[in-house]
Amino acid sequence: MIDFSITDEQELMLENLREFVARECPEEKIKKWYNQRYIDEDVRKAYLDAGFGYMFVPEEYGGVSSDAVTLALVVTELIKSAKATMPFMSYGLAMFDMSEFASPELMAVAMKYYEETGEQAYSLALSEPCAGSDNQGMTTTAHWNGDGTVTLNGTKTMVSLAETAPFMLVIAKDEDPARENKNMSMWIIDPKQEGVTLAPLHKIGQQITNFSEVYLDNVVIPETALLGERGKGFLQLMKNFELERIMLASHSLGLAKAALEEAAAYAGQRMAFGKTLGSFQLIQQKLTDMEIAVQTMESLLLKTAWEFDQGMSVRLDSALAKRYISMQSTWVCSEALQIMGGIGYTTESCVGRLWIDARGSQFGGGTDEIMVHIAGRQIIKKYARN
Amino acid sequence: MSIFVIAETEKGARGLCAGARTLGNEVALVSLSEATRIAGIADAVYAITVPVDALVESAAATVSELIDTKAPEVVLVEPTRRMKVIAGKVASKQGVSVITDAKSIEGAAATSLFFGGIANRKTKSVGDIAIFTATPSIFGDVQPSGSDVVEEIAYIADDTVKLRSREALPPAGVDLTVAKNIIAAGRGFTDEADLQMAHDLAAKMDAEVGCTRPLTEAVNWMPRETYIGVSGLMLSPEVYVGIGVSGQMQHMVGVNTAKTIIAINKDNNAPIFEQADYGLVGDLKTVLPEIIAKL
Amino acid sequence: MNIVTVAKIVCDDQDIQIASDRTLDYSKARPTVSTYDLNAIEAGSLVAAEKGATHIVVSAGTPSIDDTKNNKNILARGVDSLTLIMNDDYADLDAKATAEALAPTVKDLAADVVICGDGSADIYAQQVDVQLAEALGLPVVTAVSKISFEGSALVAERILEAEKEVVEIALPAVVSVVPDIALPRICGMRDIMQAGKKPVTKIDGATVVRGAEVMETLAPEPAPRKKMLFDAGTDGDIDKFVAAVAEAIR
Repeated sequence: MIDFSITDEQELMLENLREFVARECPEEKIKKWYNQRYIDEDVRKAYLDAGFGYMFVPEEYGGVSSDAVTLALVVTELIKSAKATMPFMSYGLAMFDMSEFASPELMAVAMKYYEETGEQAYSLALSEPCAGSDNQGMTTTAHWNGDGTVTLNGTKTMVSLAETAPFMLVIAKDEDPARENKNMSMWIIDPKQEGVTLAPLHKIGQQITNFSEVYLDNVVIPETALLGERGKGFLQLMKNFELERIMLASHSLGLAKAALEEAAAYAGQRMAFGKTLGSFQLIQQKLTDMEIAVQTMESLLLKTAWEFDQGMSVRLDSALAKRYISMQSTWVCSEALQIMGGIGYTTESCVGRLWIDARGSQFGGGTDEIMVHIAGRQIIKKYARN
Repeated sequence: MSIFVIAETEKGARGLCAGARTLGNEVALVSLSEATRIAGIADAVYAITVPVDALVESAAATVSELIDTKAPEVVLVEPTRRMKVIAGKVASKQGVSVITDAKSIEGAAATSLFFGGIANRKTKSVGDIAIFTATPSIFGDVQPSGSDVVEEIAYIADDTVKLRSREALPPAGVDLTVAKNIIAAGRGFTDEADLQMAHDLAAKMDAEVGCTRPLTEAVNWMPRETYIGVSGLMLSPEVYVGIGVSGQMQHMVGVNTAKTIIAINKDNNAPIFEQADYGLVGDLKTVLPEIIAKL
Repeated sequence: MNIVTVAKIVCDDQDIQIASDRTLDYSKARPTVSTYDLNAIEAGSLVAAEKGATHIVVSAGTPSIDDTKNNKNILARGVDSLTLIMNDDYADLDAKATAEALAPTVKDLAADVVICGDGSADIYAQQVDVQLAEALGLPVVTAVSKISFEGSALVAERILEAEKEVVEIALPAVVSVVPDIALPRICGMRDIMQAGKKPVTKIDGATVVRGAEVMETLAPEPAPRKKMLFDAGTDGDIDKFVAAVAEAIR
């Protein structure tokens, strides 16, 4: 039986998280962080020091023992109580990913940086102007020079945290940019080194996470900058995608919960035509359908996380959750905006920000459509008669 | 009935002696300092001279013995940190508890706030003596009187706690607790400069300016000691004017005993209008200059 | 060295409902540490960490104070162990009876420093510190904003209404602290997960004699207000409003 009862420990974590947000993340600061494209170091570090940023970091690197349900609860609560996107929600998972392919020496360096600054140690340069969901279309190449060095060339785009992370992981095709070439390797580079140029990209939402285009022009690196196995760079990145989808769906759920809470509280107070907005059935219907959506999203998310923790396959459910929750979150936030009326469309209210941030999550970490691509095949398999 | 007053400040001594007179016919003042050696406010003054290098609380043993001997039925204590320690020690010796921050007193019972004003709680002293702390204001406008028999009581030395140094704190800017009228500025003030209008209005109506929590916590536009509400000041002014104040319970418990409540808010649905005698719907930026000019 | 912080466990005031007869309904309220006692616990933990001392939190109340989540909340704050003194008769205890309930246990724990909070969330009497000190025969210093040690003495800074004092007090002693002394920590995940493994000692509280009795607790009746509303957008309304203000301050 699935059991979603919350433990004392989880409840205390969430209470302390709310207190953390209340103390460290007031609205004025959040606005400032969205403008400057990153969260101040003292707050990032405080989040890490409280232990939240150590979830899923391997225990040999100081991590705390973690499970997907707790991760989902924590990320949802963080986003809901901040009423904003908080980039550090994913940093622990990023260190977990890195431990899958990085040497212990590199992990030690990356952890040291993470612990000193609370900032993610690396950015990931994967997407290209002509290769997003279609990663096989990638044309960035790594050329072995034969003298112990490798030269990278190409253009990467939509790289999160490139401005703030000290390292950059670059996925590039081995030697040949041709579509047929399936060998991709992963390299670690210094984004300040010669040949690397960053150009900021300006998102319409989630600006709190900086976003860049990266030009690689004859970037010469040692062969030892290879991470993991040559030719398997993309596959090794795929390993924790299911857990990442659970985390991303938690972010979307947090945004939707915040929007519902704002809109419902507003409807209960705001007077129109001599009574509260909430006493009109058109508004009640919106709130009812929003509540159904949020409860359904939460059930699917927790079920998927619970299955993950039981060691069950979540290949299907994590894709369903990512697609459904990203899409529903945008819808819930949009309905919240509708209830708030004109004030919701101003920067006085946080609902506009919630809506536009939710919309962005229909792209990041695999688009709604890619989730169909993943889920569809699984569903055919699941119901096959033979 | 015999009432003892223990006070630290002149204001406390005068006010509580006057209040004590409303409770009983014999009023004695326990004076622990020069400030409270006041003539004409009690029937007896028991003067205890505490050495300047000792803690004022070290007089507790002397006071306790005095109360043992004189056996008053009621002791009224000024609610300062030092007097609360003396009251507690006296109570412990008498086997009772001090009933603190009394809002009204009825025999051996008193009513105090419970959970910062969520409720009022009536508590009764068990024993032959009732010890209350109270501010003079609960007795209303009464004057002290008395024939003043001064008796010097020998101080019994107690140096379990040694005083190393003592210095005066910088004086607090304003004391809202004694203000006749109060103006509270709320979140409706979006520019710090607009607060001048609240002060200008205060000057016109003999009021002091306080604020709601966000103005000291979120933006720090007002000093912390002017914050009104649960965990802040609890006031009982003649007139309260809330400007740009929404009317949340946490703030309103601090002023809801005001004789008249007046509100100015641009939102005609602000909950404060439900709790006000007079309300004006309007933008403070435009209505305040007009009100100040006309008042 | 043993640091004993005495904390009150009250019901969470956010969850108190007011019934139609103005009595309070606590049925939905969970037990929680009285707000300013969290600051006292933090001060105790900071002192204990500095001195390498053991930090024990003690509370007395009805059996409802024994709540696994609240216990873990206390133990996740740098506290080594928790002792709960319970008796069905311990509801609405006054300061004298509270001190009587606490004293034997605090004595058994051989406390060098007993720390109390500024005042409880419900009655805020600021009296348990003094009554407990008297019950234990220990010296007491209140309103403390800073604690340090010099040899076998404790040196405390205290903030009074208009003065600041520095005092020296021989140990063992009772010290009550103002909230400013320490901001309660954000409990770390590791501390929360460790908390359940720390000892909770439950003691049957002895019968105590009250020094004051609660007669009734009722929510205040809202004062009737005139509720006369003027609108700045209506001609003449500001004048009427100004006239009302002038009348009120006359």
